[in-house]
Amino acid sequence: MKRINYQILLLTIAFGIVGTSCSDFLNQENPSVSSSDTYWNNQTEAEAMLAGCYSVLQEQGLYYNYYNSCDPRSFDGFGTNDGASGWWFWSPAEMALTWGNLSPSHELVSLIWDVCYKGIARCNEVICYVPQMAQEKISPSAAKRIVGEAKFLRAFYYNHLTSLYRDVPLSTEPTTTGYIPISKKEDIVDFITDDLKAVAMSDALPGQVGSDEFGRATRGAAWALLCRIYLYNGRWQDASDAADKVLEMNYSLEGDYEKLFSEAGNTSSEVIFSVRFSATADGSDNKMRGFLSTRNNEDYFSCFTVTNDLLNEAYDKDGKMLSKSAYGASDLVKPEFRDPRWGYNFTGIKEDWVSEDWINWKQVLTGKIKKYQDYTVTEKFYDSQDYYVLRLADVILMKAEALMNIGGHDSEVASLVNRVRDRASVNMPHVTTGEINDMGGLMNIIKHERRVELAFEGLRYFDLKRWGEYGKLQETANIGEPKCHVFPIPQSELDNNKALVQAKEWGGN
Amino acid sequence: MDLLKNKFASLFVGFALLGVLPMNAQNASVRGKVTSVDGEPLIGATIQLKGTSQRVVSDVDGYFSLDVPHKDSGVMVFSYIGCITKEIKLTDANFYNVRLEDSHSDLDEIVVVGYGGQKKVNLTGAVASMKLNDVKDIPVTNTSSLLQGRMSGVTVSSFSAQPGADDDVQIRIRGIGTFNNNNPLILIDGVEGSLSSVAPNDIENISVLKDAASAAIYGVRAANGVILVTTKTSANGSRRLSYNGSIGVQSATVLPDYLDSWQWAVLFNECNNALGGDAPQRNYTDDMIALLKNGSDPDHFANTNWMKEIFRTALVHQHHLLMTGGTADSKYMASMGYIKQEGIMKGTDTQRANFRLNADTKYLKILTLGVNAAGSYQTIAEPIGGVWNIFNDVVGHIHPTIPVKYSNGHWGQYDGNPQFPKYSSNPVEQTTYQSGQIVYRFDGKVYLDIEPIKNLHIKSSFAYQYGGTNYKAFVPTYQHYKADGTSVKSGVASLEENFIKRQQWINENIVTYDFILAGVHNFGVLLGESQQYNGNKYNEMKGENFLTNNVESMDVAQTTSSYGREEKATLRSIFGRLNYNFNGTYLFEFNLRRDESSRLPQKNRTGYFPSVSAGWNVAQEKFMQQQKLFDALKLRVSWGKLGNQEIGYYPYKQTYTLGKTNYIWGTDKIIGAALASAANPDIKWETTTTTDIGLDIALLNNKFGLTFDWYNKISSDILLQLPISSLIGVDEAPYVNAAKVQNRGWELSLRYNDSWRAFQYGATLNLSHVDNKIKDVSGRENWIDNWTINREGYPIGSYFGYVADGLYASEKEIADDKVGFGSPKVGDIRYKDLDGNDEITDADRTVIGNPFPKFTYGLNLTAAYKGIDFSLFFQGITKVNRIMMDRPTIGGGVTKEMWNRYNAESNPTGTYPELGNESYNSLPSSFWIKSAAYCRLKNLELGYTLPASMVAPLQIQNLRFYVSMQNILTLTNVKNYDPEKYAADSNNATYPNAKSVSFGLNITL
Repeated sequence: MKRINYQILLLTIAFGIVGTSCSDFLNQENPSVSSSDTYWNNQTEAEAMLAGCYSVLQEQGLYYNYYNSCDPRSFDGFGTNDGASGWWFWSPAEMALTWGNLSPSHELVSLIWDVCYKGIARCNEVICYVPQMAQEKISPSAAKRIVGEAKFLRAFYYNHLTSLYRDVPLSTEPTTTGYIPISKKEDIVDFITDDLKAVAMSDALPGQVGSDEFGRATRGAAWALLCRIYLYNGRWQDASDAADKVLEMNYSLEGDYEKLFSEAGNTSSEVIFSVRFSATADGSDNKMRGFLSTRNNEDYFSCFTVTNDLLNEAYDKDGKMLSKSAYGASDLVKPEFRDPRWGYNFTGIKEDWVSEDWINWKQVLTGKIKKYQDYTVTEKFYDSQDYYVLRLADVILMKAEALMNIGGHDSEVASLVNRVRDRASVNMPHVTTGEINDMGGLMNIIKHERRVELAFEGLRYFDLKRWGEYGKLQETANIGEPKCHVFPIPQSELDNNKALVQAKEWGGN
Repeated sequence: MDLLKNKFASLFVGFALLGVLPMNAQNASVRGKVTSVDGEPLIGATIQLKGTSQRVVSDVDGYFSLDVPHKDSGVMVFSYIGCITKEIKLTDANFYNVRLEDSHSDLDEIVVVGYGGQKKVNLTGAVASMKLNDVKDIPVTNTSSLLQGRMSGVTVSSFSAQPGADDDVQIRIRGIGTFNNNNPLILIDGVEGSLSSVAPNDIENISVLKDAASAAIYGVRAANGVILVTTKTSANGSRRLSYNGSIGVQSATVLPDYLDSWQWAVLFNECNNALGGDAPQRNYTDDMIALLKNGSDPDHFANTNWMKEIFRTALVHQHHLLMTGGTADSKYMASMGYIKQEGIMKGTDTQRANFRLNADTKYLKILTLGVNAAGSYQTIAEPIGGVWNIFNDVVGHIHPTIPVKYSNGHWGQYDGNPQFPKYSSNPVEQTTYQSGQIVYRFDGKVYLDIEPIKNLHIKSSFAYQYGGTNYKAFVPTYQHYKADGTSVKSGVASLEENFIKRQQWINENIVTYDFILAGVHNFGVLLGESQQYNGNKYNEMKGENFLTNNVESMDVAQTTSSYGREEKATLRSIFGRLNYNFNGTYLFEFNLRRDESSRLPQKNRTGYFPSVSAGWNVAQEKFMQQQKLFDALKLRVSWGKLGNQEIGYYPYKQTYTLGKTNYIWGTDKIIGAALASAANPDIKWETTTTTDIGLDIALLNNKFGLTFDWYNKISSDILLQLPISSLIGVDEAPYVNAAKVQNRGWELSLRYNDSWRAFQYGATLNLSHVDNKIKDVSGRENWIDNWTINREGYPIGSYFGYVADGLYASEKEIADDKVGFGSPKVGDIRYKDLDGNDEITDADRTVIGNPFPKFTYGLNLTAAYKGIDFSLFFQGITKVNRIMMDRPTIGGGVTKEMWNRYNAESNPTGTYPELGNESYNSLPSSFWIKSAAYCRLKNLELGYTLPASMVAPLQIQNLRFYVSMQNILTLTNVKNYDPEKYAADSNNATYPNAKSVSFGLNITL
């Protein structure tokens, strides 16, 4: 009897052991996702996190292309006299400057804020954790490159934020609360430019990359972005110096302007940094090329109409502004009589009657946006068209503008503008004294050149802001109100982040 | 044959004893037979000579033989579970025929509690229990629905009669205590499971642990209450075979009463005219309306009531075979079940096969080894995309002017109005394209129980469960026909399949010891530990671009994609219980459980869940011995703490998602990873603390019984997502322990049983009240979800919207009100200005209704006379609201209520809003919030058991025929729709409940 009891006891214990013997029984890892404490094991994982930093660029609020979105092109005066008319949900220019109905609770305001900080948070993860990876997990050079790219992207997101919202919280490492007080715009700009300059001066990033890595930020992209940030913040000499670094590199203007804005132009040597899309990669497709044409087909929106004002900006083919043109009005609606970029950027141009007021009608030109578009597309489809963020022509004109502001470099400025005009497919006459007189100064020629060369690339809003020319946008009573010039901090953020105070124009202190 | 042999054997023994008796008078023996009131032999009844340890049990045919010192002095005590204990004086007779009366709630009854059983008289917690025997004849595929209205404090809502839609039957114990998972823990023979997978005929008993004191032994899984399901075993190894089967028909309890198509067209035109713009171009002309009215061109101008067309009278039949047998030491129970239920909506049905085997055997008098094995296989069919799509079409889109089928035999998809050149979907046709789901499970458990000394048990068990679902839906390419036979094609064939697999194992090791000190100090001790693992796996595949409709296989798809994920959780626990009672008068119980859960971060992983309870059996006191009124009078008090770990599998881990943030470098896709959810490293489980005060009374020889409980249940640290700063960089906020909810209420159950000669009758009533109130949501404001809000001071999910004040009668009223939205017109709903700022804005919304019933009740009336048994069961809820809106526009079917719409010309006195401003009139408002109180005759059953004298010659022990009816009567103010529907449903696109009549028989060999 005793022996039997002993066996039974053993059996009981055996049952009991099933679960308890495993010491990690209570530490269950999620098999479907990773967490920060189990991640960061090799270069592939680090690069995947970096890809996550890039993919924010494709999201709504940045370079995303769909209805209801804040398409970058909407920064080109959509819904205003300056750019294109037509109904657009969230055109920053239209809202802030024309209607003046920007408000802390407007979705656009939180959309851009949220997406930029999402990008920043992802960059901060990479910048924080990749340097902590041991050498056997990732080579120092690969780690440096990944961190360098994350810093590039972080600078990009902060520049977008400070350009719109001015003073914002400067988050530079992973945060679980987000309770970070507001920093002055100047301090943020100092931080991101110092940070990015250190990357650009080091060998962290390759100067340029081949087609196998196209899309990754390079030293060239870093200098070009620095140039833009300096320019936006009035640091002319720094901007000029940064531009020089780019101009020294092996970039060249694409001869065929029209080809540049097609899928064939994606990897042109003019493109310094672009947001990449692929029709074949799941979730990374663009819908840009057929976007406007399908909108037209779907018939509930009219296609965007390029405004008369913008159509009239381009010179005639002799390089004369329209009021000085030798050609008649009937010729000037034909592309062959205009600056070729007129025909590359716009299409379907025709004369139309519009009402000046209820009684008077006037005849004006209208046209459709052609840049990046393919009007043969009739159904929504997925394309691989990249969105160019920084390209050589922009850098050349930024250099020109920086020199203009430094002063005393007029001939170099003119030659920079001429360099843009010398593109094979453009081939417009060089800057002349007559043109300078007609346009009211060399600076106006730079402004003209930017408007014609860079139309609908998402830069106009920032240009006008920099130049103090809100008046170029349709005048309304709201223009001049200081709060139209700075985006408010979104109400949702203020509600959830006790560390923040609203901008003073919006009632903060 | 064996049975007969046994009978002869016992008779033989009996005669032999008779012969012996006179020779040994001092040590006499008496014999007899114990039967139920129906005359059925009671097997295993205990017969004890009062005041001695002399005790025997009745045999398979109810016979017993008891040795007594004197044949004519002494008292025999007869007891049997579920029967009133009876005492009979010895009177020198040799043979006693003893009938034991049913006691529907006998205090001596053993109630199943956590990890054991407890005499009802000694219970100190709030435990409700029911025997499934009373409801086993009701044909259901989801056993949960049998609990509806049967126990106080247990609210079961049956939102639809859709076969296989298990989630449509919802069980809530004492209100709801969290914004997250409110489902109670269901243990089937001690192992977590689902009631829907168990055949009702397999179940012996269901116990519900309602208060924290009785549930605390289940710790972190118990906050929503615990339901203990005990399946049948063979009582003493007697061999029996019983069959229960029925066949019945079902139809919808109610279907909306729709207008005829010509009236529909009139309203449609009105709506178009009100909308203006292009809309009036689509009007039906007077000629068309005439055709609709006279029905002369049904191919083009039909009068189709689509709701009626998609429903049907459906068949349900069920069969259950149960075997028991063995010897006194080795026993088994085996069963097989099958049910097939056609849905009352075309295209829906389910069938399920079940088996179960419970067997145990005893060795060396101290060791019992046993096994429980059960499995089920169920198929569920419904129209592709779910029944909701079909209802939504019928309610929202499909014109009643379209015929179900044209005279050419094709499905109708066009009517004769040329303004509708595009085909419309045909709901009846849609029900012919079904998705199929297979639900399968296997549950197994082995256990051993050692009793080295009397009343000391060492138990160890290991249970494993495996189950899952396979889902498949093939969407074909559609061909849409016109009445003239021409057709167009649409869509691209696609196939979706998904697979869910669930595994669970649990190992439990328990020691119990019951002992008595000094004759009056009764102790019960339990110590146990357990570990448990759960793992789920999901896989999904999609195939598109099939070249043909005929081959429904992934192989044929031109493009395919797949997804998958997994999750795992573990739990390790130690628990104990101490019972003490002094002579059955003063009762105490103490429970403690320590849980460690993988779902929580290490520092918060361990939790302790204590409970204490006490009872005072006043009726046992000496001073009560003189009175005859009270058979039982007991006061109970309890307090305890429970946890809810149903907070997701990895809620505390900051996670990175992979593959959702991809990017392009060069020409390659780079798999992206990114921060997906923010971590809350401080997360802990939700905690529920319940205080319960109870009273049990039994009067008049236990004919009358009353149980009353008052409770206060506070759930704190409830997880919710509070909005976070965007700087964290994730889209989804982490869960934080931030809310508090109170459920306070009382429960009353009454029973009365009596008999008059052979006529037995009884009634049980249970009534529950609960007040649900959000105490704290950490300042989260305007937590609004369409029609509902979670706001401090109000019940969870309270209806929220404008207060309606009739319809606008004039333009002046509209101008005066300054409505800041929606441009109301005359005949639109007028909303009240509550904040008094002379404008109607968002700020004028308020709480306008309560989705919780104030009272829920169930009333069961039974009667039996000789072989006839009869029962009526009513169930209902009162003071409850639901959204009862017929969308104020014309799309699909239109109820007759809407004929009373306002229209300046044709119906200026209408009280229903004008048609043509749907977005304004359908805003959440009190206009659409109605009382959804109802009282329903849930079940009526009439049975007849043939007398034993008739069936015994056929070697049949018991034969009963019955007719059972469900939901045949509903008293409610709700028109057109079933009042039992989801609280959040706003457009009445819901599957109603079914009424049914079935005929069946029980036969036992």
